[in-house]
Amino acid sequence: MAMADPREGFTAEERALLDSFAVPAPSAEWMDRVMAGVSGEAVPPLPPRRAPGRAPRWRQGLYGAVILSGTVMVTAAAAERGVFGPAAQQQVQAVVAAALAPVAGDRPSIARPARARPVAAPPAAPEPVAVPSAAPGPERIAPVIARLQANPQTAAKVNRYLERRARRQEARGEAPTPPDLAELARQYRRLPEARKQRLRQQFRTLPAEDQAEIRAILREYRAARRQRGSQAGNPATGPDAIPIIDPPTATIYD
Amino acid sequence: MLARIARRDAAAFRLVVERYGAIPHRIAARMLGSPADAEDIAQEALLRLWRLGDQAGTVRSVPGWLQAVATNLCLDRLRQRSRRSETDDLAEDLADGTPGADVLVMQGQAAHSARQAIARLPDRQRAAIVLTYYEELSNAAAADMLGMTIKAFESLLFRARSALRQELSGMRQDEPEGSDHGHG
Repeated sequence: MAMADPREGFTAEERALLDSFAVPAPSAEWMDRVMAGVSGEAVPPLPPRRAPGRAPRWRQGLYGAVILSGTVMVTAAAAERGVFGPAAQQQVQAVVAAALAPVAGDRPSIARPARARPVAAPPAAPEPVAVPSAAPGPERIAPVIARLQANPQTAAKVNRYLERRARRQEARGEAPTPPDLAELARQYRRLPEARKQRLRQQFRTLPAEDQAEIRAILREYRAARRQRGSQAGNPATGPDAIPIIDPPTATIYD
Repeated sequence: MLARIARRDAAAFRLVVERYGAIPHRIAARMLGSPADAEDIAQEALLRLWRLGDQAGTVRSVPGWLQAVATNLCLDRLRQRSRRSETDDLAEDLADGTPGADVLVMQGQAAHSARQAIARLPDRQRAAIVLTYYEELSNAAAADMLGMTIKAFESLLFRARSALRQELSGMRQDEPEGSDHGHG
């Protein structure tokens, strides 16, 4: 496709004026600042190898093994609880690799850890609406979305929604995440009343089992919110509260 | 390069910063009008690339990715400003971005005028001008970055160009007689 002339519609004088808005290249100091932002997360360079004979080899081996076993245990326990993100796990692995370097006699290759079970939004993701731990998570919603994707009546809209959502996340430099109910509820809340009404009508045209499943998820969501509200001394009547009939797939129908 | 970044290789990331850091920086400088904000946004865009981790391999083009992310970060920043009614801050930013007197003598006030004309455009119109005029993106690519259809983007761009032309012509009329600020 031929690209339209970006200068089209501007006179030579206007172009000269616009072109004068030059931006100087970023300074080396700024680049250093950017790099400082990642220094904590980068795989640290391995320490220099010890001079031979500084300590008996068996002691180095023992030292490495102790660190390795300790780290592995801690990492495994933490990963089990979903504490570490992949970045933190990599850092731990780097420490293990550094500890083993004197034993292996060479720079060991660092195996990439299995991706940690995501327990929180990735660092780049927007602030999620706080949802109690008992609220239905993305894994609870996934089967419903899969069913809506399999339904010829809703498939196109659902796919379009997911595609647009992924593109939006990509355009913001965020790691892709599955849709979650808090997000859908938030989007639904922002719709005009007429649109909500139309969605409720469309919801009633879904297969009965899908309707039942969606209602069940919403009941869980509301119960979790109520529980959180009572714990905090507030009833769950905040702006996040959504009526039971409202489908959580609201924006899917956009 | 991206594979190395996915492996948390700081040297590879440094190369990206050096080679492509100017892209988000100049987009942000033109959209926000403030050198300090431009540095913040550019840094954030680059750090988001770094934080992609395993996902970095899915980035098709680093320059294109940085353009998109910087533009969206700028739009977020502009939305925050308007939410907080930071019109005073914007004026301060513009003042902050004004070069010193010595530079002004050398460059004339043309750059400042262009900066002001662009700053007066609504956020998305500003993005449309920056992406097409300065970054020389096709309408399709710019529309994609802003999450719009091409048709909607073309309409936005048309409005942006008209508004910008009006701003520029208003500035020419405001110029004192005998002023040598402008070109031509």
